[in-house]
Amino acid sequence: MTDTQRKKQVLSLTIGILLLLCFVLLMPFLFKNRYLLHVIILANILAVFAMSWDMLAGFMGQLNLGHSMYFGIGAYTIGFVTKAYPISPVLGLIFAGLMAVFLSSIVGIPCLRLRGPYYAIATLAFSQVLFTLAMGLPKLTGSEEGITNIPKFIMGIEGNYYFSFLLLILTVLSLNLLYRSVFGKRLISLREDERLCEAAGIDTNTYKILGAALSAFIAGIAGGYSCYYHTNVTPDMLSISLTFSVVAVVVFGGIGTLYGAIFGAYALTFLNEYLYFIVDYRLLIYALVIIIMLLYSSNGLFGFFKERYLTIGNTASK
Amino acid sequence: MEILQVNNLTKNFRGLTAVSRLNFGVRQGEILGLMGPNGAGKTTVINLITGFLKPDSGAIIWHNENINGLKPYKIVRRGIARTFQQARVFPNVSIFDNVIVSLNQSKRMKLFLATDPKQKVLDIFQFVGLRTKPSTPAKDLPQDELRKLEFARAIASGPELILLDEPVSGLTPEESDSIADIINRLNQGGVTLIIIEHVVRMLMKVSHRLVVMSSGQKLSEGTPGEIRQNPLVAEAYLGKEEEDFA
Repeated sequence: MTDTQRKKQVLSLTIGILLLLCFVLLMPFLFKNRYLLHVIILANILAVFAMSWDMLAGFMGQLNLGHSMYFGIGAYTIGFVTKAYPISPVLGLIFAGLMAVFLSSIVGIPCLRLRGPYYAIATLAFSQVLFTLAMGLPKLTGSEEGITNIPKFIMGIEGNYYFSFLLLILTVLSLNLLYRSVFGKRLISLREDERLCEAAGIDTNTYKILGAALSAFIAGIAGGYSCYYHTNVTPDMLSISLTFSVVAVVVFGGIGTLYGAIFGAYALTFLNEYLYFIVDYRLLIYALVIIIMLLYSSNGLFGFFKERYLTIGNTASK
Repeated sequence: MEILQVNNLTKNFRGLTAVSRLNFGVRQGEILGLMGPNGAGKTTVINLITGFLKPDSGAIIWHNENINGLKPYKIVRRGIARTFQQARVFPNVSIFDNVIVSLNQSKRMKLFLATDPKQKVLDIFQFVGLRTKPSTPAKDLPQDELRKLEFARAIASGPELILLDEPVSGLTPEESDSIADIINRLNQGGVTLIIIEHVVRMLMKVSHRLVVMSSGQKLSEGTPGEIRQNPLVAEAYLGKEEEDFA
C-alpha cells in the first residue's frame, strides 16, 4: 500500500468515525423509539463486558470460563453498597471495579500454575461457587429474586444511552492505548509463548495477575452499571450462561480484535431482543454461531470486514 | 576474571544423568564453545544456567551470586540472555513487538545508546542485519531471519552474557557466516558468549576457548588448537566430524 493510499484510507476512516459519532449523538432525536435505545444500551454494556473477556482470552490467551463472576461481583457490590450508604454513582462504579479486581486476585493467584483447559475449569468452578452463594444466602443476596429497587444512576433512557456510549468509548480508547503500550504488548506475548516470555525477561506471573485485574476492573464496572441501569441484581449476572453469551459475542465478532466484541455484542443483542420467540433456544443458537464462525471465519465478523475493507490500524496482529 | 562459574553441576532425569559434576568458568569478554556429541548434555547445561531447569546439585555462580533455582526472567534481568535450538519467536506479532517486549533500558550494554525505545529496537535490527519491515509478523520470516530475530530479542534484554543454542542449525554456509559475523561483533562490543554448536568448524572458528562434554561430563577444556590435538575428543566424536578437526 502506497503512502497516498494509506492517507486516503485514514481520511475516509476518520470521516466514517466522525459521521458515526454524529449519528450516535443525534439518534435519540432522530428516532423516538425508546425500545431501540434500550437495546443499544444493553448492547453497549455487553460490548464493554465482552471486551474485558477478550482482553483475557483473545489477547492474553487465558481462557476464562467464569468471567461472569467479575461482572456479577460488580453488580452485587452496587446492590450492597447502595442499600447501605448513599454513595456517588461514579464512586460506586469504581468501587465495583475494585471489588472485581480483589476477586481476580483471589482467583488468579491459585490459578497461576494452571494452563489451557485447567485454567478454564478452575475459573468456571470459582464462578459456580459465587453463583451458589448468591442463590443460597437469601438474607444477604435475596437469592433468586436478587437485590431490587436500587436507585437509578441516571434518570431517563436518553441519559443512560449517552452514558453507555461514554463507557464504551472510554473502554475502547483505554484498551487501544493498552495494546499499543509495551506493557500491553507483553500481555499479548503471554498468549504466544509463556516460556519465551520468561526468556525475554518478562515476569509472567505478575503480568498475568495484572492483566486479569485490569480485565476484571472493566467487567466489574460493566456489571455495576448494568445493576444501576436495571435497578436490580440477580444471580443470573454470575451465571455460566452469561459467560457463554460473552464467549459467543467475542467469537462471532472476532477474538483478539478489540472492535470485534462491539460487532458481536450488537449482532447478538439485536438478535436476542428482536427474535425474542427464540429465547429458549438462545444457548443452542450461540453454540451454532460459534461453530459456524470457527469453521468459516476464525477472525469473526470484524476480521471478515477488516480483510476486505481495511488494511490499517491493527493493534495486535493475530 | 570469571563472571560465571559452574561448580559440580548435576542434573538427572528419572534416573538418567544428563549432567554430572560439571565444572567450568566463563571469563569476561570471551566466546566459550560448548561442544560434544548428541546427548552430551549441552542443552541441559544452557537450560540450567538460564533457569529453565533446576539443578539437582551444584552451584551456578554469576558475579559471586548463586543463581541456582532463580526463575528465568530474574536471570535475564541479571544480564544473562539465551536463544533456543529451534528458533523461538512470538509468531503472530510483528517482529518489532517481538523485540520491544524484551527491551531493557539498563546501561549494561554499550553497543546501543539510543534512549528512545523505538530507535533502540531499530538500531538492534540494523546491527543483526534484519531488513524486513518491522510490522511483518514473525511467522512470515525465513529461517535465517528468524535466527536474527532471536538474536535481536536476546540483545534487547541488555545482556552481559548470551547463551546460543545451535545458532546456525539449519542455515546455509552463507547464512551461517552472517551469524558468525554477528557473534564476533557482539563480542567486540563487550558481550560474553557461550555457544553450543554441532557445526564444529564454525565453533572452532569463533570460540576463544572450548569445553568438550561427553555423557554429561567434561571431557576436555582448552583453546581450539589444544582441542584439535586431543585424541579423547576425536574419539568421543567417533570420527564423525574428524575432518573438522584437521
